[in-house]
Amino acid sequence: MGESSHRGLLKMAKTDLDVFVDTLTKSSYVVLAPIEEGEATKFGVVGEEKIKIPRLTTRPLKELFFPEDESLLSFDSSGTQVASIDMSGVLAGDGISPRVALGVRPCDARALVILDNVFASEDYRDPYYTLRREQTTIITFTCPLPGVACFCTSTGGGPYDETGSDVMFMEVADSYLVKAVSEKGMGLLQEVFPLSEEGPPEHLCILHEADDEDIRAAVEAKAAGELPVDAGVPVEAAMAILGQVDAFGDSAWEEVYKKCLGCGVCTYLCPTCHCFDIGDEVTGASGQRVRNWDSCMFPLFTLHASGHNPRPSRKERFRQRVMHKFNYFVENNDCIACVGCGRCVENCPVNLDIRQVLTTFARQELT
Amino acid sequence: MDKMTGSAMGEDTIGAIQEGIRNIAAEMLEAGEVHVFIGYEEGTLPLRTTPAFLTRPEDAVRLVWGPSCENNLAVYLPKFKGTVGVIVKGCDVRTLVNLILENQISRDKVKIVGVPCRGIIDRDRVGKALGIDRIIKKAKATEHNLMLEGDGFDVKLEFQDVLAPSCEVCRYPVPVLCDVLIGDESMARDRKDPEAGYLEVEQFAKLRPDERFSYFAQQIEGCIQCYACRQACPLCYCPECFVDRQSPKWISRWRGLSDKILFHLGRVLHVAGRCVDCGACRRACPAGVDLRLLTKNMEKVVKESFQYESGLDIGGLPLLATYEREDPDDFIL
Repeated sequence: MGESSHRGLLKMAKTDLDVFVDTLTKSSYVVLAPIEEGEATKFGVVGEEKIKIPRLTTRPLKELFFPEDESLLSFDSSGTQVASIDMSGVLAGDGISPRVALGVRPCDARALVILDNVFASEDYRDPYYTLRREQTTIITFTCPLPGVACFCTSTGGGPYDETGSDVMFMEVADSYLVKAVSEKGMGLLQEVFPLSEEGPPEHLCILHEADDEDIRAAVEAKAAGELPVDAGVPVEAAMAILGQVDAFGDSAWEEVYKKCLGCGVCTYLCPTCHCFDIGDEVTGASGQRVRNWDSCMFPLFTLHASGHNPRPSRKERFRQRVMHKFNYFVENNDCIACVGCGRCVENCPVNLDIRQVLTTFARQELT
Repeated sequence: MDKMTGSAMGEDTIGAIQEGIRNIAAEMLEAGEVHVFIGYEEGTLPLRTTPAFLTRPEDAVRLVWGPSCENNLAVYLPKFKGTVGVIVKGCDVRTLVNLILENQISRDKVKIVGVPCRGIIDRDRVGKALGIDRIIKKAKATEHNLMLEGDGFDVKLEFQDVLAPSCEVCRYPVPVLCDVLIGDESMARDRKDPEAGYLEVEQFAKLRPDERFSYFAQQIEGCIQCYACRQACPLCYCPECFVDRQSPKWISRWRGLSDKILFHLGRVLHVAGRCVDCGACRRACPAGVDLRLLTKNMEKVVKESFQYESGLDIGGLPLLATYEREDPDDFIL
């Protein structure tokens, strides 16, 4: 009985969100939600303050799984011999107990499924990434306020897209309509939030079954919700052009990259960009092998030890970013490496807009 | 023109300057005086313009002018061959003067089109004034106001309240060097006293060292090392920045507050006597890192110690390339 009722659409009063979070915390889940860091917002462990869910965090969700920097192993050496290498300490020491990421937007959740192709595929399973993925349940809030840089519906997603989510929260009037999307999400709800009909009397019950009217409201909200998003970015037409052999040497690259300053804003704030560098941080005889974000927009990214750089200017580097997202990644993994979240559009210091670049190529006759 | 009042007049001024820019760009390209003309065109988001690189006179109609022309276009100059025409505001041209002074560009390879500046809009301030997550769909600026429209709101802000902090205390709103000045000096903001710019710095200097450190540490904490500040700065033109050196490696990205601080302090010190407070670094930062108190203080130290203001004169030598026996050294630890 309990299982089947959690399968339907559930309902929670908006005012119970803090209780929801408290309950998760008391059940030993680490709750990660949007927090402020100076002027920016990012996902982090929630503190005492009330949870505020912004339209979109400045920094993407990816860093909960693929952080800005992380230690892969520690080592200790004496003389020329490596005395010991230890991975276990690093994995356990990361403090990865079961976690819930709450207040995720659909674009960020979708991005995780794209990143899985890189870090959790059949070919290679990155132990650090996959451990964090396994330990984390994603609670996505549908997106009521798409911004002017958003184009998720052009990249296959949408404000109500469930890809990558375990539980969906949809805002309707004073309530959240709550839906378990995956078995993992269902498991979390069943474990921590028994329905009012089934829980022991002393248990705090905040989830209820939704009625027909709620379901109708959900359908209506969903139908209206996708309208404000820019669906007019010709992603597929651009991909068809970029897929042609001549695209690489096309003269349009000469124009589109010109204003690029060569910083790493677009790559670091991108929820799907995943390039990294690995180095050793050594003090005396012991140290850490460290992985950190890297960016194809930097010359150092491709600089050879010989001094040769196969991507010598910003033109080649900018081309790489576009081609990787809309061509190479697609060829390798059958999906675009872009979710249309608009972070690169909004945060580019010179307003170099990927939507315009795609539009340029969609119209382009290759020269 | 006399001092203008009223928004309608302001709007006309902006329009007149825009017209002037388009005409001069078209003329320069037509006459072959420049190979490329760098200005601003309409951006893809409200409150944004974007750099435009024109090579054909007929494209000059794309150029726009207004308080969203926030980028310092001098940053692009060193990489162009041939003669370049460029739009500059009062602060932009001072970085350009430094580029000439430091032999990064040649004076005869650049046609400087100056604009009397009324200040630019700080988008963070607009966001704060408007409240979180209100999505601006349309923005229009007049001399005194900024009109913003979105779903369910229609707001008129005072331009004064959303002006970039650097502009509030700007000493040189009229470009100090140009081949052509669009309009005339009266169209610019009033010049501020130098002291006005240092009030905040002086207040801050009264804090204890640990309080000051914790302020800067807090600012730098959010840095993601994207180096947008460096890339947006016309004066950060080193072919290889010290943070990109691999042997020796100066900067690590590992648990890096101290490394991040090293980068930012290194950058600030490297623009000592050169920084003109154009604000490009602050605007480029996606994390809101604001080290203006530090750069402004550097400017103050330079001014008080050497009676030198950066970027005013293409004659002579850069401050740090000169030495006099009488130079004060009491600021050196």
